[in-house]
Amino acid sequence: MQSANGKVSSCPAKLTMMRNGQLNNQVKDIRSVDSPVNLPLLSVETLTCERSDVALFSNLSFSLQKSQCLRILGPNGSGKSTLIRAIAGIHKPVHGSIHWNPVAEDSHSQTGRPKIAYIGHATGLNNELTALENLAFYASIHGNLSGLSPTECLEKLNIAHCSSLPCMQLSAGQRQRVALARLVLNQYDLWLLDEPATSLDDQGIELLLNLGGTCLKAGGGVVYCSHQPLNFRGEHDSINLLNFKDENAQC
Amino acid sequence: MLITVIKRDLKCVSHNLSSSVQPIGFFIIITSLFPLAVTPDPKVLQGIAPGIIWISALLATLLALDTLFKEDFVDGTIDQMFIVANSLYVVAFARIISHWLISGLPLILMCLIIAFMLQIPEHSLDALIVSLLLGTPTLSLVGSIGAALTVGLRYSGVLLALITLPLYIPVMIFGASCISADLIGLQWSGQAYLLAAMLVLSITLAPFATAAALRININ
Repeated sequence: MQSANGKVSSCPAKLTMMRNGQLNNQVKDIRSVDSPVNLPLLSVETLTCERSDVALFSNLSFSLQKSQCLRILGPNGSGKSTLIRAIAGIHKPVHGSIHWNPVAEDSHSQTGRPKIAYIGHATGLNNELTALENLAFYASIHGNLSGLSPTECLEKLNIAHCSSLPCMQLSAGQRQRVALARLVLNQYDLWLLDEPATSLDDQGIELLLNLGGTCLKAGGGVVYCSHQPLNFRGEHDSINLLNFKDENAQC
Repeated sequence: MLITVIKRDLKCVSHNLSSSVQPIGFFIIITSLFPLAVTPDPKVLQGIAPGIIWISALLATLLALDTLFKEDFVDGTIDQMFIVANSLYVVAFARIISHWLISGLPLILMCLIIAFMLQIPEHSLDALIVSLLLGTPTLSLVGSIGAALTVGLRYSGVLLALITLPLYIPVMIFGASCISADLIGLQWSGQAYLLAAMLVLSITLAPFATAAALRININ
């Protein structure tokens, strides 16, 4: 993976050089390089997902523009988490397709996938490692293009004081903050947040909203599901999975 | 990514030494039960020692297998690694290597003491070490398939043993006969070559099967 990251980060340097004819400020702000064609960041077509042979939703189509925020609505069990996992590529949909257009030309990793940050119900934090060690692990597998060290990422979420504690000793809210600190490790094209406000206090939600606003401003997208609306600063849209429920499906 | 994951696993071990030494402790206790239960007679012990060592090695490996992917699966780390790499092959391979480093390698070192206890003469130590060096990685590789298949179950210990132990039989047969052959003064290179062949085969195929099983489970 390290060699792949090396290749990815070498791309913007070349691009900027060709455009401006000079080498300064190459990697610093990749997002400032505008994409030539204004394609949607993400387009989902006729997506049908099942879980344990029960159809959750069918023929779901939508697209997400750059700097747009999308909220997925639906009652419990309607497939919100499954949709987010399908977009992340973890869940295989029964039918339909998901297309990507990167924010900047370099954003595609070697595998042709965009840079996704996914925060799910499971935090992805190892209980035995400390908060800092967990984040350092993600920094080394994701690459660290934002230029922030893992400690600085923890500071952004106001949780740096817990950096040397094993994750099992943290409270649920503190763990969520450490998990969210992953979002600032890299410059991601898309944030996929599954109930990100779970166990966060008001200040934590405010921090998350601010960080989300920065991501949207830079041309990224945010797809989230949450039972309370999160007011990310940017263009808002929502879809209700109840409208795509297959009437004939047995529940 | 391979090295990053292995480094992380070793760091976890250093934070939680007690749970990582359990399989080794288990190995020592099982092997020391035989002289107590059967007979302390050196001749008899020498005859059954290869079998004792290999059966104990299988059980100790099995004990550490249960947690091979479970933690990463439950806490969502596997999802995160899959998003980055778009394949679980490297993840599976890295976890197998760390499993062997944590459970297989100390077991081989421990064998030097166990061999003394089971009256294995010094000249047979090389056969013992070679058979374990070639055999225990195969155990980790083959066992990882079972661990990946049962990762989604809450209590998978017994099912894991039922899936994995039959697959361990060929390794056990040739591993034990490698030592037995040397004890009675025969050439043991044939068995060692077969163990090496099984190792090569499982290195080639097992990580793919493990990655596929994990992929099914995170879907």
